[in-house]
This record gives sequence, structure tokens and C-alpha cells, in this order.
Amino acid sequence: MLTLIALFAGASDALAQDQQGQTLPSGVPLPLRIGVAVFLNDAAKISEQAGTYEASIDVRFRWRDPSLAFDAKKIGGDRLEYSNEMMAARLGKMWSPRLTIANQNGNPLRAEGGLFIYADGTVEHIQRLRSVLNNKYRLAAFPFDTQGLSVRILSSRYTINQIALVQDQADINASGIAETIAISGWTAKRMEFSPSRSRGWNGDSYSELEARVFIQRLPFAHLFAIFTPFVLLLLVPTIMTLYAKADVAPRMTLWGASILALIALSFTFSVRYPALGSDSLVQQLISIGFGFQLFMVCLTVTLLNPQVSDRLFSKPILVEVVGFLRWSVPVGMIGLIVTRSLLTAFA
Amino acid sequence: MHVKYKALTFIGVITIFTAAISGWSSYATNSGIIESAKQKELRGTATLIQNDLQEQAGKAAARASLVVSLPSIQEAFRAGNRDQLVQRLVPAFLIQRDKYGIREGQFHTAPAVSFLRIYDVTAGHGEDLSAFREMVLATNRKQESQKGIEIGRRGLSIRGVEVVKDAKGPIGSFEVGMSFSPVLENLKKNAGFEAGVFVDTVMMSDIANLLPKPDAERIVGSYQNVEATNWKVVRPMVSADILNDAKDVLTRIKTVDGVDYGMVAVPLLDFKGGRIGAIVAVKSFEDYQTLQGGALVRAIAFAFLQAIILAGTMLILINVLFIHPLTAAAKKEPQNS
Repeated sequence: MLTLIALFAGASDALAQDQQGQTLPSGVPLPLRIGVAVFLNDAAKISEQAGTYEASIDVRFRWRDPSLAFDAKKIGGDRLEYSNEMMAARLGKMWSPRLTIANQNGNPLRAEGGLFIYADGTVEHIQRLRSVLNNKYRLAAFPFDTQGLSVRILSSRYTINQIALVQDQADINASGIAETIAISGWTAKRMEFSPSRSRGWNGDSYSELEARVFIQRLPFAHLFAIFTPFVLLLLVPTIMTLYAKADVAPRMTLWGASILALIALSFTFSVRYPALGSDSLVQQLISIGFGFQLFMVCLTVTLLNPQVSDRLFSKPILVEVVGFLRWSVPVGMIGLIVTRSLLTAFA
Repeated sequence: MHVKYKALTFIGVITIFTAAISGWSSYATNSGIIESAKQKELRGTATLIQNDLQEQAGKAAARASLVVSLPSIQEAFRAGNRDQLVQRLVPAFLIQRDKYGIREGQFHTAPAVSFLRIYDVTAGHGEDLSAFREMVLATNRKQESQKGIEIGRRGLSIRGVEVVKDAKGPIGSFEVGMSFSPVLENLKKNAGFEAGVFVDTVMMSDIANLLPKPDAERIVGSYQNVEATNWKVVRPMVSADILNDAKDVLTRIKTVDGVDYGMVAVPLLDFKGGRIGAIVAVKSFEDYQTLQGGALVRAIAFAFLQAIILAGTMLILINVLFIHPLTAAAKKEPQNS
């Protein structure tokens, strides 16, 4: 009988503690303001194909719970610190906003953190997480693109009338990007925050704050890998067509080989950059290449084919037209490629 | 041959010249449209700030009006009973402070003598505010409510002052002062601008003696920053010259680290119409910069294309119609003679 009573009392106590843990702090106006700070320590494994990236981030949540205030003189300091297991135990006994990182892919690879409770009841919950995060990449401007690596902080338990995710100057100062950060192939630029709301399954609105770290791709390595084979497979048949003395047949053979080479290059790019869409610079270059090949084949069989050109124009006109094409076609093609590349960079 | 090269050079120069004019004209038109859009956004932001300030003043006046119309408040004020006023108002005003940006509430007796400060109930009883509280003087003198911006003992606030009166006649006045936070937060949320409020340092130190001294970092020339949404963004854009020049709405485009930033400064006028500071709002105009870069590339590309086509066409025509016949005729002449 006594054992049963003891068990019942323990269960009630646990339930009360659980209820106490879930109850919003009293004595503070609602919605309770939760200050959010995000600091990016490191980022790696940026995968456009998988739509993920791996990052080490420090996330700090700050709020005020007057019930946790204490006398600093009695304690001998104005701050209580809890870390790791002690932090988890302390959080279990108090209210916390239970915010989640909405775009986290699975569990964190590594997690550590701490809890500070100040004498006036201010609470700071700091987590250092190494996680894989989902991210949407927009690759239309590749390789001149700037991507936003997103960390979405979401309140999934408390509605917008209960808590509000905010940033004051202290949170802004605590947020940012590590000075020593080095992301291979990218340059870190800045961090921006944008608040929003998300609609829950029950129709309620929940507060959300998205931190975005903007990183700019270093284009030069990609430019060489993209443009060099592209230029080479068009250069040889162009020289043979416009500048070398050759008949129609060898020119057409070269253009046929060039077309097949461009098709192969297109497949190569689609395998190397599978996440690129049809509006990317790479796809535009392929289209320009095919258009150029079509134009040059038409030239080869008409204006540059004596059997056809002699019937269309007199010799003086033909000489002038061919002379014009010899410099205008390569110049125009280079101009078109440079223009498309620059417009992509400015997109 | 001499004629040929002269003609070709002349055509080339004319073609390049016309293409350049065409390209420049196209870029200038696009650039003008983009500049106009920037200025429109900055002027729209200035209007947003001014409207928000008026709205805040209206909210302050509304709260003051609500308080002074309560019979229990009139009765307590008439009786000079500070304790009753504290009991009846302080709990509600603490919530108003925490949730809605109310930073001051104060009862005055005529002409402008402090009777009770809601957020500091023991301080300032009987202090004469007439040297610097024109709004309170005007309210008690004209027996009309007033609203506006004024520096008080607790700093700069957006205020509404109402007459307190009962059946026996006027008793005094009550004011509500609101902070600039709702204005700055609205601006950030609705227009994406980071903003800060700057006030004359001398006036603040003379009048607002209940406030601590500001950080040296927050002082710009003869002005001090009292509030900002993001000081790290606002500070590089603000200088003493800009704050001194902000006698009317001022717009500037400034480049910091290669990025264009739009800045608008709206002067803050106190109740007497004197300039006491400015609200400065800042936003990155990198999107406009990108548009201008794209417009420049397109203009150059089309000018280039125009030059190639025109030059080629003219070259072919000149050579076929004039140069070749002249050359052929010149060759025949020695044979005939």
C-alpha cells in the first residue's frame, strides 16, 4: 500500500513538473519575446544536387522568465551556468520555447550547448550544432550565382500570440559569420534575417525566423571547364570554313563531328552539373553553340559553296560578303557569348 | 586605293559614332528610369516615416484621452491623491510599456508643474517644466489637447497631452509618451529599411537629465542616436554633415564596399517647430545596381551589334557600287589610251 502511494505521488509530481515546464512564464507580456541569434562557424559539402549543406552553427535563444530571478549577492554571482547533461536536466524543469530548426535534415551530427540564467530572470540557451540542412539553390546565374544558406528557426509549439521571434541589437551583434570561415569554391558575404509566419496543421500561425548566409561562388574554375571545350569544338571547323581553302565536303565533315562533340559536351555538363535548369548559362551556351553550328552549316552549303553562290550573287558581291563574314561571324559570336555571360552575372 | 581607304575609314567612324550615340542614349534612358525608381522608393519611405510619426502621436493622444475621461481618475486627480492614481493606473501602464512601446505617463497641474510620473512615482513632484515643455503649457493655456514630439526629462518621445477636467472645471493635464520603436520596426518590416533616431546632444543633456549618458559610439557630430534597428548598418551611412543638412527630407545614395545604399533623412521637429534631430533610414540598393549593370551590358551589346551590321552593310555597298567600278574603270583607261 505504501509503495503504491509513493509511486502515485511520484507520478503526480512528475506530471506537475511537466505541466510546470510547459506553462508560459508569468509576469511577462505576451507574446513573449524570444531573441534569436545565429552565428555560422563553418560550412561545407554544399550539394546543389542533393539540396543540402553541412554547417556548424551557434544558435542562441534569449528570453525572460521572472520566476527564475535570484539574489545575486546570495548566490555570489549574477549568472548561473549549466552545460550538457546539467543543461538538459535544468531545461526539463523550466519553461523553454522548444524552437526547432525546420530545415534540419535528420538529427544533428554533433550537438553541445549551455544554459545561462541571469539574476534578473533572463535566460540564454546556446546550442552549437553540426548539422546537415536542407536548402533551395537557384542556379540560373551559375557560375556567377550567389546562394543563400538558410537556417529556419521555427516555433512549432507556441503560436504567434504566445511567443514572438525577434532580434534586438544584442542579438544582431551576436549573429554573423566567422572571420576565419573558408568554404571551398565560395566567398561568404553577409547574413540577413527575415521573420515570417508558418501555418500549422491546426490552422494556427507560428512564428518563424529565417537566417540566410549569402555566399558567392568563385566562377573562374568553372568558367575554364565550361568555355574551353566549348570554344575548341567550334574553333576548328570555323577556321576551316572561313579561313582555309577547302571544299564543301571536308568542311561539312568537320561540322558533323563538331555537332556530335557538342551533343557529347551537353551530356557531360548534365552529368557534372545535374542541378542546373534549362535557364542556366550552361544550357544557354549549348543552345548558342547549336545555333552557331546550324548557321555555319547553312553558310557552308550556300554562300561558301561555289555551285550555289555563283547562281545567287556576282563575284564582286560574293567577295565582299565573304570578306565581311570572315571578321563579323567570329566577332559576333564572341560578343554574344560575353554578353550572355555578363547578363547572367548581373542576373 | 587612296579613295577606297578614305571612304572605308569615314564609314567606319560614322558607324561607330552612331552606334555609340545609340548605345549611350539607350543606357541613359534605362539608367534614368532606375534612378527615378530609387528616388521614388526613398521619397515613399520618407512619407511612410512621417505618416507613422503622426499615427504614433494619434495613439498617444488616444490613450491620454481614455485615461482623462475616467471619472475615477478625475476624482483622484481633483483630490490630489497620488496613491489612488498609482493604484488605478500603474499596473495597466506597465503592460502598455512592455507590449506597446509606451514610455511615459505624467500628470501635470497648470501651467506645467509635474504632479505624478507613472513610471517613477516618487520623482519630480512639483517640478516646474515650463522651461522646456511647451506642449504642456499650450494644453493648459488653451484647454485643448496637443500632440507632437518633444524632449522631456526621460528623453525624446512622441506625445499626446490631454486636459483633465471635471464638472468643477479644469484640473490639469495628462500626457502619454511613446517611443520611436514601433515606427522603426514598422519601417523595417514594411519597407526593409534599417533606421535610427538622432537627437541634438546638447538639448538632450540639458533637458533629459533622468537618462544616463550615451555611449561615445552613438554620438555623431552634435547628435546622439537614441534608438536604432541595426546600428551596424546605420552608422557607416550617417555623418555629422548629413544630420546638419537634414533641414528638409534628404535623400542620398552612398557606396560602401562597392554596394550602393539608399539613405533618407526625415527631420524631427519639436512642438515649437524647431529642428531637434532626424530619423535616418538606410537600405541596400544592390538590386538596382545589378539592374543598372545589366542595362549597361545590353546597351553595349546592341551598340556593338548595330556597328557590325551597319559597318558591314555599308562596306559591301560602297565597295560593290563605287570602289570596284572605279577601280575597274581606272584599269581600263591606260589600256584605252
